[in-house]
Amino acid sequence: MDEWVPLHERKEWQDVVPIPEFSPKAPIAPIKYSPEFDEIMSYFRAILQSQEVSERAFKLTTETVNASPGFYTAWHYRRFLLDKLNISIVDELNFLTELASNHPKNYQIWYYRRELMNKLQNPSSELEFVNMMLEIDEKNIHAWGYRQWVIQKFNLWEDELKFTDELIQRDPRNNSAWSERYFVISKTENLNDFEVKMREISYALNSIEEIPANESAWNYIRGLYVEELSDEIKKVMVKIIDNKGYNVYLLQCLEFIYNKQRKGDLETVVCKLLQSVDYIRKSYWKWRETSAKGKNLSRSAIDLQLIPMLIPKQPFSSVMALYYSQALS
Amino acid sequence: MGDIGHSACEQRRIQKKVEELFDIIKFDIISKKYRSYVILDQQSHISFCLHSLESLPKSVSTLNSGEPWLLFWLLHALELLNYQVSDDIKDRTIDFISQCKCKRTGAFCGGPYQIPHLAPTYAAVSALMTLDCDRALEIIDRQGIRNFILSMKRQDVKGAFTMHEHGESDMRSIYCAISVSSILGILDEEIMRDVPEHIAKCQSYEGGIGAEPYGEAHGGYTYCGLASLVLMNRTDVLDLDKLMSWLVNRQMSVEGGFNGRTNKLVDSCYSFWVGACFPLIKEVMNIPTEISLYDPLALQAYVLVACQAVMGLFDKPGSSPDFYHTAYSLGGVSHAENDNGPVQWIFKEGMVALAPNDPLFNVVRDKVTRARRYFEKIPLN
Ligand SMILES: [Zn+2]
Repeated sequence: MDEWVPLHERKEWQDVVPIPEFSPKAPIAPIKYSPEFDEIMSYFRAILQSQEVSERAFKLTTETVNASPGFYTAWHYRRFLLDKLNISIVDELNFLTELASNHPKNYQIWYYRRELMNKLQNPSSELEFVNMMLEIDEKNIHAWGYRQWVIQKFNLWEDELKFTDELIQRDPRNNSAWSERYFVISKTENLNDFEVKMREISYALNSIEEIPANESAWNYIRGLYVEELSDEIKKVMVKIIDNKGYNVYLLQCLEFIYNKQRKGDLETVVCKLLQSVDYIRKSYWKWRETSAKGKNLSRSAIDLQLIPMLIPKQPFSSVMALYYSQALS
Repeated sequence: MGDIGHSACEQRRIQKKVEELFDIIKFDIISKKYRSYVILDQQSHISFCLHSLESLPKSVSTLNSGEPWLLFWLLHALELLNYQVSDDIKDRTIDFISQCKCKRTGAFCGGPYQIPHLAPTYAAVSALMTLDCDRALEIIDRQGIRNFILSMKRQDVKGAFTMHEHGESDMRSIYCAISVSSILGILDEEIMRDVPEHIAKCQSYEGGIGAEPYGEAHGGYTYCGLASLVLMNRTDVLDLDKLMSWLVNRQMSVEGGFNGRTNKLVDSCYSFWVGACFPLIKEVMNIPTEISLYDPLALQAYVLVACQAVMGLFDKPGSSPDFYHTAYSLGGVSHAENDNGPVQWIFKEGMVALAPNDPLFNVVRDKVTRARRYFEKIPLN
């Protein structure tokens, strides 16, 4: 990198009088800026005040946002200059790309990019860019927000479902990928279509069979749940408990299903079990148990198979024993 | 056990660190038994904030785009720690924030010479409320702020606001607009139009709220969405059961703290973002105060044992302290102490009673009451 030359030593800035930072006699929380930082900001204030439209002003905004990437006023002024000076949008995108890899969570960079895309109307390199950002942090919420925006805006749906699958295969606990999957399905297929729901719930159940205690996959199932698929879900639950035992997310999902089915007595059984195994949420499950008021007493064959599997591993009290025997009857 | 993926590795790493810290004092998160205790180091955290009010190192230079935030974090943390700031600090703060006021609109900016922005407007109003005196509240231009908020309402997305002209737009900007309007007594039909419906669209299939429609459910955005709806008295647009189920699952069973999204790591700032949602949802669903929907003692244990630096607090073991996490983790501890019936502390021997916090504004409760009264008696001209 070239040595940074102070602005007051640069020939082209000789005519500008920098505006120093506001510094009262009795300051509060004053920051000890470095001389370089302070000078860049002082010159920026000067061009902002004079509303200078020039190449040098544009370059100065580059220095300003490099020094302080969240400095939205400089971004705002830069946008203004971009239009006035007819700066190349592609160059500007490249500038953002470079900055984004060092400041992946900066709000301005991501939203400015949307504006540039609105002007450019050509998203051909955008998914590649987002992929690069997700390479750095696969859960970067800004990157996902932009991805959804650009996909929606330019109809880039084609490979997106496959993309979510790849990410989920690589890391089944990448909740952003599950969330993206829900977004794609909602926007490209009919979520009221039973076939779609069945396919997606099976997708999540397959993942769960491999990694049963994955909150992301269980939440996906709960998000898509329909009554007609309750037995399918319960069958997989039986299989999982048989092989690997229960886990809190499985039990939470079962409680959710019994609540939807209004099978209050069975919901109570699950709430009781959750109070002992999901100990951190013990008081929540206690409260939930009091609201388990469904009166549906019917049991499917799969319920009868499931309930005996829900006996706590630890010895349980006679009150709970009574509950289990009632639930099984 | 065979398990795959980056998330599981990271989770195991942090979990182990927290377990090791709990182990030093033989703390058991289930029984809440411990051999030795950890105190909330009130004096050190107070010094951290007071020193910062006098002078800040160049390492925080980039906070120059949000100076009212800096003041809000420091002053709020001091209030939570029951430290009364001097009149001198109050005067200097008022002077400085006055300089952050936009001369054209009356809304606040990230610093002198910057353009008006909803987030520093929220932070400036909150910092001024925290000062607890009329001369602080006097500098607020209600009519100007009202016009500014209205000018930030988006035309292309109904019910959304941009942070500033050409700025970003998400659930934070909604909360900043609604909460500021509410405390200043300017929240009306025009500001609220389409906002509840827009927030409802941002509730995800998981139950939490995202930044925009179809965004991933996130603790910070969920707080912003829920608090805004409570302020507008429109929580009817949400699926509350689903929201509750998502909220309770943010508490980590080994670490005791909250994470902000499904399968993400624990982070002390969600002690506030998620923790403050509980009193709100309890109120809305008519759940008695004494019933706690999370484990407040485990949350306190996480912050006290795993997030305290020599001075200030941080997000998770291995990090350095910062002002934001200091304020937000203390806010979360205050809620954990005060929101679930009689005040409760995890380590009674080292208890520090934090000032009760207001879950809607994230300002200490009695300061909110004062500000409300102040703006009620002054007519909007
Ligand atoms: Zn945090």
